[in-house]
Amino acid sequence: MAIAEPESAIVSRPLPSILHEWVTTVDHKKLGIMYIIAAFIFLVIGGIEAALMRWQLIRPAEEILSPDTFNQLFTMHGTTMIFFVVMPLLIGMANYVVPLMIGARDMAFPRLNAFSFWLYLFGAIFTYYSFIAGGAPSIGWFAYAPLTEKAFSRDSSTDYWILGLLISGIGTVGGGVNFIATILCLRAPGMKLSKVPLFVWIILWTAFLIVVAFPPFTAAQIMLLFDRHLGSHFFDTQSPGASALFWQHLFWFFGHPEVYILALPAFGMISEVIPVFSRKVIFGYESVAMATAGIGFISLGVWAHHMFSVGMSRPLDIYFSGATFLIAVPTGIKMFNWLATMYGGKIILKTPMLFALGFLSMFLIGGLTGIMLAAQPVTEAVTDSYFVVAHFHYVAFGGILFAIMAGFYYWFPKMTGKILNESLGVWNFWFLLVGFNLTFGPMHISGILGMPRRVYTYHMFRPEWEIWNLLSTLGVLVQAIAFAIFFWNIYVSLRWGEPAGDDPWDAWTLEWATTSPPPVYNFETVPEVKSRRPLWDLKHPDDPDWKFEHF
Amino acid sequence: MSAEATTHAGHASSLPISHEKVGMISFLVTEAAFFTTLIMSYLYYIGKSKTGPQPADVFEDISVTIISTVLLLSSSITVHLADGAFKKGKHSVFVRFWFLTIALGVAFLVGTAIEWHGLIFEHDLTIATNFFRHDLFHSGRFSRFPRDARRADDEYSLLSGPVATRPARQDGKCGVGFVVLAFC
Repeated sequence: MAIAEPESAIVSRPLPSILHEWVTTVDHKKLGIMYIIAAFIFLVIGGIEAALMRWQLIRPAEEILSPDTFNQLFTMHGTTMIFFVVMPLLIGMANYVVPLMIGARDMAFPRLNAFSFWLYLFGAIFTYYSFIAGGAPSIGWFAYAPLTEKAFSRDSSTDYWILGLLISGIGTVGGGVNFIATILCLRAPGMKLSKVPLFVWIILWTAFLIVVAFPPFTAAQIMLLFDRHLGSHFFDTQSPGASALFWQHLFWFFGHPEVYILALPAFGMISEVIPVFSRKVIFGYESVAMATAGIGFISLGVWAHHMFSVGMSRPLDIYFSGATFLIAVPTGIKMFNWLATMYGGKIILKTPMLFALGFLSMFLIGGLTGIMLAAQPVTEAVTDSYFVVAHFHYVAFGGILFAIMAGFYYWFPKMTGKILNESLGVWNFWFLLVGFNLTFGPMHISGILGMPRRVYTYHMFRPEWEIWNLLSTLGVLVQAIAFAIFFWNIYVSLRWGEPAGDDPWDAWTLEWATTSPPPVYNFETVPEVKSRRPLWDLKHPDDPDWKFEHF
Repeated sequence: MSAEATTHAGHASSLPISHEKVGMISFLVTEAAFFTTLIMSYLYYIGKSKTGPQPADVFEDISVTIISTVLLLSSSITVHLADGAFKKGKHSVFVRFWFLTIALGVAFLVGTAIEWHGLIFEHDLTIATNFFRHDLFHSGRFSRFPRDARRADDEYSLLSGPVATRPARQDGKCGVGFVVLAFC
């Protein structure tokens, strides 16, 4: 078994030396941790932005924030949470565990990996620099034209948005290339693609979506830069022939796969956590794998369901509506797989499993409202209302972030050698579940009652909106407590937590076969894989899985 | 760079090709996606510029374009041959094809410069050239995508304030087709 560097040796080194090591590292584990730390910092920033917006909306005609500040806050909140929090959290965790799960020493291109991280971080910092440079962008996270044109965004805030996301996007594409090469080429001997852990398989498809969907966004951003600074008029509706609609097509051709770039890794984490905490093999490995491929392809053909209200032709409405209904099928298959895995299992309700169950229930709600919105007439009725805000937060927060929390609690012992405190974890879960539902559940109702999104205030003559906004704001307070418990738990557990050991969950994938935390070289000897649960085979030589797997 | 930089020596690829090649293929996929978007943009906007010069006006004589393209494609062949010679240890052959590749690249750049010089200085076609008329904006744009334009107006007023504060409409200048073509 591999030997980790003694902790005391790390602690006794001078700070500049430690910082130098982290800044210059190309180790996938350190880079993964740096992705996660950076994402948590931006999570706090994005959370504060959301809390300020909710504070402003706590009652009608509140004057805490100016309209322009409110516009900046919702733009930066959406941009931050999508690009600087959820995606780096997922990429960071994948960075850490994928090479370990497949028995590789590192990512295929370690230096490209470091380059990708720094591009992400500097892109994010660059975008936030806009606050200092005169004001943050106020164009919404999908930056609809012609708001982004020079005529309507005269200062440089929109340029910071374009360039910041362009820089971090290039880093993301580098990460996608790296994951594809790593997963396809650096698997342990015997680990066929049909035997990789589902998280790894899903990251492969996520990387495919990244390399296909991100470049069109980059191209659109460059066209927008040309509009703003070189005199072209791609998206400027003041010029005949130009089209704001075309920006929407380009953005959502990226934007909808982006939803799955975020959701698929979350599915992968759940596919790892639920079997381990149900003490059962995943039900229907093949169908989960095929459903992932199905989602990967179909997600490239549903983008214009974000555009039903712009007035596309009837055939296009019908196609995109049908395709959106269709993508619910593979997603539903996964839900049944996870439920069937738990059915008859010996369920252990530790914190990772609690968050996995939270994911299942919250994502189900988000998915069902998604099916409602796939019907074009429903979208016509509730478009740009708080109903849509509720829907995507049930997907992105209740679904994806809960899954990330499950994965974080699950893999934290591997990353640090310490287990997160279970009691604090349970408190963290319940506060977050209650706070989340208190915040976003009422938005369904205020949305159906007609409250538009992105308004900085509402009038006294809409008293029916008031109670729902009050509840949503109170929910943010509960969430703040939940995240305070979460970060306190990290601190407490790192400082005084009990040692995790190599395999605290009695799990079955290869990352648990090495020390916690793993040594730089991951594995002393590259393990040979014969089944989908190689560690089970090692632990149970009398009853190995490979005897029953015939592929 | 950190001393812990890793290589994958000793870890045979799980595929018949190396991780470097898989990485390069993946990178080419991103390039294909990028340029496909630009080509789609060109197709989307082609013909929407109602005043000249149009592509047919500026590409009457495309001999320079064809020659430049042939030179560019030929350089791909020569660099491939140089690579093959290098791997076989044929140093002199490698050097020959290597410099031939550079020469072809330089010739391509010269051809492109000649082409762009003609476009910019003879046809006055820059990124901001083609003028669109305001009457066309009303009759063509709004009648074609009325709800699109209306939605854009709604977004603006919702986000940033009353329509009355909107700046005066500006003359449109557009050479989008050319720009995209130049990218491609």
